Amino acid sequence: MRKILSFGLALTIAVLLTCSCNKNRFDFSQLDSVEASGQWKLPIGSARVTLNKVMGQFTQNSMVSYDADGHLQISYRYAMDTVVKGSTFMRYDDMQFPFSFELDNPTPFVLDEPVEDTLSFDQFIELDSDVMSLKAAKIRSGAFVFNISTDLGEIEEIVVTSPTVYDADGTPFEHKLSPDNEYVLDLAGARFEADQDNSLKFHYLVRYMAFDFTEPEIHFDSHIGVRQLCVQELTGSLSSYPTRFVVDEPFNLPLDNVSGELRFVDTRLSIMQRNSFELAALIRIDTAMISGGQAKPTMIFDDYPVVVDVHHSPTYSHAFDKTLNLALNTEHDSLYVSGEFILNPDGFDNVMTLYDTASLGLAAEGVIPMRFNVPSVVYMDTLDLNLSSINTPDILKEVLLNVAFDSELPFNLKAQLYTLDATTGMVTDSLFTNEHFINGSFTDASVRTETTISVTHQKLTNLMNANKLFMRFGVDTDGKDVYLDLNDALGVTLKADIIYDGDLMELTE
Amino acid sequence: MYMKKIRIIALLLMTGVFSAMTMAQNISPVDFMRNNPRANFANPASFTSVFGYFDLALGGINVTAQNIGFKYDNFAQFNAAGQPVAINLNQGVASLRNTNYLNTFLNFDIFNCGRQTRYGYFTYSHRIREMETFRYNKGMMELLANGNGSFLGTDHPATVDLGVALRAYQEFNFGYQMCLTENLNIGARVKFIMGLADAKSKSFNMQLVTDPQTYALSVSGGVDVRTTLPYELSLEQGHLSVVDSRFNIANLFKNYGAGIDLGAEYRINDQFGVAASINDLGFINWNHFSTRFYAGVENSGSYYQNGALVFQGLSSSQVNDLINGNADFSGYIDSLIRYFNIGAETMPGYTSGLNTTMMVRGYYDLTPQHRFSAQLTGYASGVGFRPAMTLAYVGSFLNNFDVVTTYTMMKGSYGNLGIGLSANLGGSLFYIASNNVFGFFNPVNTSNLNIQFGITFTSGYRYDRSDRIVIKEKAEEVDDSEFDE
Repeated sequence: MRKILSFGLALTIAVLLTCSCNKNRFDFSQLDSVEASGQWKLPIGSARVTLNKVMGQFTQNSMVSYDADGHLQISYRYAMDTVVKGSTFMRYDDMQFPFSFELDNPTPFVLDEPVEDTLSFDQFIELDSDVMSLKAAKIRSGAFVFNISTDLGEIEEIVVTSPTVYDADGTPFEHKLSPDNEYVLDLAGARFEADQDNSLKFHYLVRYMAFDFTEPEIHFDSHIGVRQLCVQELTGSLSSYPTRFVVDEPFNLPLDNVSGELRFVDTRLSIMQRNSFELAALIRIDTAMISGGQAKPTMIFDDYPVVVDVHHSPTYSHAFDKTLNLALNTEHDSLYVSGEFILNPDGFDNVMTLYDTASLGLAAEGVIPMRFNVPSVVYMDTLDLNLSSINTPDILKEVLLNVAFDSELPFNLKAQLYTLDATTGMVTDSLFTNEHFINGSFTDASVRTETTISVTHQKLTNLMNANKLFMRFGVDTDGKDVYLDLNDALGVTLKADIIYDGDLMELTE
Repeated sequence: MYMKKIRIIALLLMTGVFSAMTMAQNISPVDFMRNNPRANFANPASFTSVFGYFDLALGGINVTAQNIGFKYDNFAQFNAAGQPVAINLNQGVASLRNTNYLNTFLNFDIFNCGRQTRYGYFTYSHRIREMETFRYNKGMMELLANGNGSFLGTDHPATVDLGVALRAYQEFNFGYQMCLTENLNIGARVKFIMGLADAKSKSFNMQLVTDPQTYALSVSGGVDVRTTLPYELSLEQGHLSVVDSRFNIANLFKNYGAGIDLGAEYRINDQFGVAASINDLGFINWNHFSTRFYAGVENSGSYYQNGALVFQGLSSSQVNDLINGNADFSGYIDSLIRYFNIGAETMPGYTSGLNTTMMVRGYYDLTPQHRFSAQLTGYASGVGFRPAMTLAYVGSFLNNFDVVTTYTMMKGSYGNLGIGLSANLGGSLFYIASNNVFGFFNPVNTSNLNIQFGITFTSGYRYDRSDRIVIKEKAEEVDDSEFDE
């Protein structure tokens, strides 16, 4: 038994010595890290955005609207409310109508006493115009200016009358003139009844006292000036009256920072006209194009001239509707249209009444449904970043970002992201390759695109230190004509695998 | 055929023993001492060899700390000189058990006494006891160290499963032991208890489910902990505070309870015997300052789905804020915290059972001085049932000395070599024991650290250890003569 006890005691001592601890194991002076490695799988964010919500940003841009089916469209309207106005051509520039005659006196003689005598004659003025042929007119404003000079003895009275000119009360014109005094006849409200086309007749009756006739010739000069004559109402005929017009307006698609070509399908172009002339008219468009930058101009019509008949219509009515396919480049920034408006294209054939308030207005409206075919459009923009406050600890080895898009949008999207140092302008890193980032949906079904992006520690550091993010997105419609619908949505789900390996104490610093 | 049955029974027994070796508990070499009246606490029927005894304040001090699962060496990386240079969480967590425990057990005997009478052996004891168990699961630590990458799907969630059981009380007990027959001793101990503090988690469980497709995080579960402490506490907006510091001595004498220990020991023949006991069968009625602490997911907004907080990522506006450097992370976290209903409420009194221990022991006396024992113990900790198996040798010499070695296997703790020494010098019985002496030499790696010691004053002997039956007869003679005097 003693042997057993001795053996047990020795064994116990040996075990205790073997198992006794090393004091260095409790010397924590060298302990400076807590190592861990693992992986966190985290949902970063998710969102679903409809075009309706996005387009809310364009509410201030009245060009963007949507039709009854919810299809987006861009509308342009350009109006020339008064292309031609009657007052423009129903006027006469200043004209001068001199009239003079001489009376021969071969045998000068001297009278013993004065003899009273009269002299009468007619003067005609022709209100010639390339545009109008006047038969009658009501005058809005203007004046006739009469001047008389003569060496015919002592003039007692000069009475001028006109059977073709009436005052506002309808009284034929009659007025007494005196030599060497200018007389201005205000024509506001006066009426003309042309003796012949454009011709007005004035009759002069001169009563004078003759003392002697010693000069071999006696002179009489009458001068009628027409000053700023504006016709209010014209009865007569009108020639074909052409007016050139040029529209040179800025044209911008509401796609900032986008470059490339878009082919808009089924663009509807309408021209509305308002014609208060009781005359036919037509519009002849010689050039209509959208241009800008280095891009090739887009001709709106295939053939020129484009002639549009315009009929009498006191309010705006459609004169022209056409459906076009427009290939636009995002560099295009100018709309240019030139042509001619021709009032009464058939010329002087008919007698009519025209008013100076009559006018012709034009309005052009282009509606570009967001049904387009995009071979390739690139959107580029920069985004300011301020992530420098977020540390990128060394323990963070890699982040696998998984982005899933559920797209109902009818276009493919390629994406490239570059981080920039705004100070130097240098690209510090890139995040995406130029692959399809979002596959478009060209059917009714949503299409999912899932992309995993490996963001290493170095990339993450570059991202956090970058103060600018340069984005380049390429868009195409896979060669198809597509509509943008307000209810089209894009769902985005971003999740991350955060892989860490290192010293956890770093996170507490 | 007979041997085959024995082998099968032995195999089943061993299978049962090893499968039952789960969690740690407090088994002391003192329980096996034959000269120490404190062995009576393990089994009230355990024969007390001294005629009488008493002690005051130093009779029994038992301190136990158990750490089942965590091993310092598994977490630390050492340099050539053996100094720790890094903590390796992954390595350490991988070494953890699925369920891990941190336990403490404290016992302080204020007063003990016992005496043989003609009617049997009577004992009285007043002691203060504390027992605490904190349970944590490996999954929680794996989540913290490894991330949620390996916890995907509803069938493999990351689970935080914690358990807390803390109890402290003072106990006044009266024991009685008698020889029912020549070979059968029985004993019982009734207890009057005054609870000092109690905390028990009814549930402390959270689950994090990570959707394998979307990585959406779903947190569910809840916390329900009921406590009774000398103070009344409140928890509002995550801030724990004392409502009323009405602590006074009188509070130490409330929360009444009762319990009983029962035991029996049967001597089969001169070599073999068996014993069994069930201790701390009883209850405490906690009714002063009972507070329930709770936490759970509640419907506070769009993140709530089917009883869980489901986080599917930041919203687009939050992402914008992040990109623009306006992210308010604390605000986001605050908004998530609002989904957790955290609070405390006073609750009516409740009753909890004592941490009951069951023991079955068999022994073999090679000689009257050398006893070999095998013992199975089960302990209800409040957060689980924890069995253990102990093999023990007791050498009793010169009627005054006990030398005990034990080997205890518990789940997660297989190297508990215990030693106990007891010496009765002129009526003063000194003893010291530990159920895991290795623990003192490597305390940070041990699963069990225990020491028990005390001084008890004894008088007389009840038997001669050289012959159990003769001794008993002599003892009875001695007893009778002593009482006759």
